Amino acid sequence: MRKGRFLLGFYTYAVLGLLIYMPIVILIVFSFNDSRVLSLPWEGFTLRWYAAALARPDLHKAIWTSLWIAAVVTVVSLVLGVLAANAMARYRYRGRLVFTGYIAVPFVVPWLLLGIALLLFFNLVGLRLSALTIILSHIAFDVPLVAVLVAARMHQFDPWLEAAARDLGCTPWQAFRYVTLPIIAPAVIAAGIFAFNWSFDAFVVTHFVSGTQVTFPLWVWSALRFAKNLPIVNAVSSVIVVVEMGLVVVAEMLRRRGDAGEGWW
Amino acid sequence: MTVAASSPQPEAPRRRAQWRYWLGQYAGLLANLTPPLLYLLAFFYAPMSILLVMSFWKSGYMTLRPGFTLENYITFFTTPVYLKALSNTFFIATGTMLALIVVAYPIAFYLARMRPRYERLILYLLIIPVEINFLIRIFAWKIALGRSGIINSALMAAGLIREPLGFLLYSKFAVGLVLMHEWLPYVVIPVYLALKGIPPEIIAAARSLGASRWDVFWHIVLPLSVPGLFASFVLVYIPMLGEFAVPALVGGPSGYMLGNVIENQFLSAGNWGLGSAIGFILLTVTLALVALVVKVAGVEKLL
Repeated sequence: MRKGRFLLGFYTYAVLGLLIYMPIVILIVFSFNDSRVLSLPWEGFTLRWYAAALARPDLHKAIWTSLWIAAVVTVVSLVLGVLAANAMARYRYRGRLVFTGYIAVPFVVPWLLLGIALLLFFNLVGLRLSALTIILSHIAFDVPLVAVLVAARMHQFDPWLEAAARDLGCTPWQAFRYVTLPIIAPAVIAAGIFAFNWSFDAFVVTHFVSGTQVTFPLWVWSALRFAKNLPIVNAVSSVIVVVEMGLVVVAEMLRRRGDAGEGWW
Repeated sequence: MTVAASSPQPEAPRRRAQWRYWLGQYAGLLANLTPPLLYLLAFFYAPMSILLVMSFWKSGYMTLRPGFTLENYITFFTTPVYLKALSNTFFIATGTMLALIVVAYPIAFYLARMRPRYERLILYLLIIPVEINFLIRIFAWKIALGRSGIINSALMAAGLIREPLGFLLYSKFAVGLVLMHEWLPYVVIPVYLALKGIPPEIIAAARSLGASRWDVFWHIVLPLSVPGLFASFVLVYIPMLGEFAVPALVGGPSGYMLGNVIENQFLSAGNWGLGSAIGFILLTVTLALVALVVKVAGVEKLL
């Protein structure tokens, strides 16, 4: 029994190490290798690829574009997503399951199909591909994400709390603002971080609806074609990996704090 | 006659009161429900419908004329290259899915029976990489797998091989491996949640009635974890059918998938009608699989 468990544990860490973390570790380690080609032998420690990345204005512009697009997308998706979560979790009506399905369907459609469908759509209605079309597209897949994450939290909380607030004379808005919102806040913030991440990282959909706009994933996609860019991609990727890991840890901690049921604001 | 004529008069205020009651009840709901409903209608359901309609339009290089023709579908089903991509897609996705289940199940099993502190640590270790830009992760595999990549150069330096292993990159193997890296957490976690939901009393009861460990696993644990497997199937198998970045970067010619054909029709070949038709075929297969899983497993078990 104990031996079986030990073997299972060894197996688990081995798979995580080799299949999940090995390439990421290699990526980070070799971003410090003083060589144009990404392979052994080790040629010595250098920061020059980081310096080279800092000196690329096209890269800065791409990262900046991705950041502000993700910010706009996150704000709009949070508003629409929380509304959808309200309708999914806080009202009882016929058709509630249908509405939940309606919101969740984008989850089961491959992103490639969403990308080409939106390309056809924008072309048909005569909207020129630009930052706007990227934003409209990203919101389409971020709203279901936010709705599902926030609705899951709402399902856990006692609907009578809000009824009690209304009974004691709150307006519907006050009841939402001072009772419901503090309770769902951790889930909303976590959903916001995930939504931001999804937009910032979105490649497949963006690939089809970007026109001449270059977001960060599109910059990586085109940079990967030229061998001389690879060490720079490597250095930038390492920074992004570390930042994204940090963000996710924060999002997860918030989500779990929310699940523990503590008030927050 | 008089009765009929007089009855609408007291009706009117009552109806107004009812209307106001109804409004009070539903105004909040409508205010919440309408904006996301309309947004997805405009930017998800309408585009998807257009995809369907345009797959029947007459299509040439960079032109698309309204009409109704099955030409695009006929072209797809009579061109060997496309059919090869179709079979490649199912071969790679199915093989990877089976491999994922075999690799992930013991991890989920281990995770479900751990002390909470370590359980949370492993969950973090699984979830965190998911949020790293996946182009970057594919790129990381390219560094690892190439002919002069880290794995080959390490194996050669250690004297284990003389020639670099060619099949590591630009092959179906590479596509499957990177897909496993990408999707492993989405298989482990649903199965883990299903296993975690099994009441320990059931297992204790079976044991005290004389079942062996193997009996318990085979007749109790495995059947009860099937809903988790269904959930991971929906989460993983379906997106894999629409994959194009992974095969484009590490697949080479032999790892060519349906997603690459579609991307190519839209962004290089300029045949949007054919691309739409292939996209719609993919969508049909996807939705049919989801419907099948929902029918077999039941929706409530998936949520």
